[in-house]
Amino acid sequence: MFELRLNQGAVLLRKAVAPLVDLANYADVEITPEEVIVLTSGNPTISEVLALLRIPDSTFIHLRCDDPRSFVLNLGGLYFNLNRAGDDDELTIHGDDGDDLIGFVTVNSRTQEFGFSELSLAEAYPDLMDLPELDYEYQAIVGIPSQEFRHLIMHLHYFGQTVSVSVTDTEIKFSAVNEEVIYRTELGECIIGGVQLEHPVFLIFSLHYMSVILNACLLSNMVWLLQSDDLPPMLNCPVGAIGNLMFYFN
Amino acid sequence: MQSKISAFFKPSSVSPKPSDPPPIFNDDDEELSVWEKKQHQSFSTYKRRAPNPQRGGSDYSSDNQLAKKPISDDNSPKPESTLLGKTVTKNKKRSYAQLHLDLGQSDFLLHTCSVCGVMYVTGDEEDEKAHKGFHNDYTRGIQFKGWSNERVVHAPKVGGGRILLVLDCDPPAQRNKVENVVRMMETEFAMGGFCPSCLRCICLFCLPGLLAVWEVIRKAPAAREASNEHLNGATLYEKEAVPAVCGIRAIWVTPANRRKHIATQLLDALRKSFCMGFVLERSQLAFSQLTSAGKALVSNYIGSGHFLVYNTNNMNS
Repeated sequence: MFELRLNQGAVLLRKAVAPLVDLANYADVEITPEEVIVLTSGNPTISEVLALLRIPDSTFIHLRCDDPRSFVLNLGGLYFNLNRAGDDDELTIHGDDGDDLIGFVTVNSRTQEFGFSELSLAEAYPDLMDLPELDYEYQAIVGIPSQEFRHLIMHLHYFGQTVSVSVTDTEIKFSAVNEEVIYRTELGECIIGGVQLEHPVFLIFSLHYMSVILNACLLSNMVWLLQSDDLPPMLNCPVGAIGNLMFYFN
Repeated sequence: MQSKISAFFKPSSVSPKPSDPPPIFNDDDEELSVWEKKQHQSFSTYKRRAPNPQRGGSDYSSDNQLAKKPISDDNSPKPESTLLGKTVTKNKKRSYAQLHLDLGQSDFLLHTCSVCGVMYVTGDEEDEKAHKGFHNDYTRGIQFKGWSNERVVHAPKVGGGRILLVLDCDPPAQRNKVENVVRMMETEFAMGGFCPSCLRCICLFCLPGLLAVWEVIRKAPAAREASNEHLNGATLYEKEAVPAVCGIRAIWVTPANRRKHIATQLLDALRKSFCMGFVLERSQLAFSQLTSAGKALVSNYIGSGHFLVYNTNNMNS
């Protein structure tokens, strides 16, 4: 039995889920007392991108979860139900252990009208995704203003599908095929942490799901690329009041 | 004929009566009356001016009221007496308001509180009450009942406090509370140009019921830092600029709750919550202009005498 409630945050939840709708049809939802995770992945034959929406319990005015639960939802259906809530409405999502559906209750903040809807759970499909290691501490971090990152992505997209990133302690070089864009820290264009001059850092990410990344960038002021030697790089788009949208590129 | 004795004792009045004919011993009453009529009697009448309520001074604002009360008490009734058609008011009641002697004391008008640094007028009730409220807030912390939607970053097990994160996108009630705390900090740090709207995030440490401290963080876009060396109280700057990841505009703890590792916990929470998936190194933090207490905190936290400092005036956003 779980129940989570957002007041005046329904619109933000919808905006955070919106980019994922373009990525895949189904999403894994995990609900624990500490946070809510929506996990989805793109088509593995085309490009291995894992998207994770992490919402901590502090976002909800009320999060109740008796036992950790996980189920599969149709992303389009989820978005549709979230869309039924007006921008200022209070939204409650609840579900019982035995049932195979979850309920949405919206309360109009002005008129106090109730709205009900339900969404059936989807069948768990065979190629379940593995949750990446949460709370992992990456070694290197690169921060770019999200507006700038969007321009960069749209520009490089014309040149190639894969972007290679080379990071030293003062500059970041993005390259796609034969086009290069460089950002420098002393000009205030980016933030670099955890990289030494002697050990530059390299990472690669794919632009195949460019629209998803672009939509996610719209929600943040700043996007962060995180890298560690043994792990795939991760793009973190913090969604202010809701949580974090994280993309793992394999 | 001699006048009656009561004629000598007329009711006393302020206005002089110069043209009163003197009681002369005149046998001839008729002559007296004729003489009276012949005199050019001009009466000068004086009417007492209404006491000026602005007498106490032009800056009679609530912030700076003089301790002296005006001598003439406006509210006491003035008995009126009429004499020969003139209306005279006189102040029979003496005002017993406590007066203060201005012997040239340096803090006669404004007294500075040694603890909270606020200047207030000692005699004035409203001012004293305002100061008392601020003083309590400053020493013990602003009252904080908790919010329904708190973003708890870190809750240390010992001490029962919690650290909250406040962002730009939070409801105005939360941001207003934060602004109150900022204003209190400004008196101690004397730093201007503090606009909460341009800060990226703010951390608050709350003990149950009281807002003990707070910290301001600004995600500095790196660059323009200078490395510092702390040597016997002086801060030496090294020439070379080193990029930092996060800049700390200010960190402050109420005086009553200092020396309890609260600031250290705030800095730890900051390092963890900067970006999910990355924990900042201690050496990646940069601080703006530090007080001596601040320097002690930072040297202790970083572990060595070297830490990063940035100039807030140079930030372009």
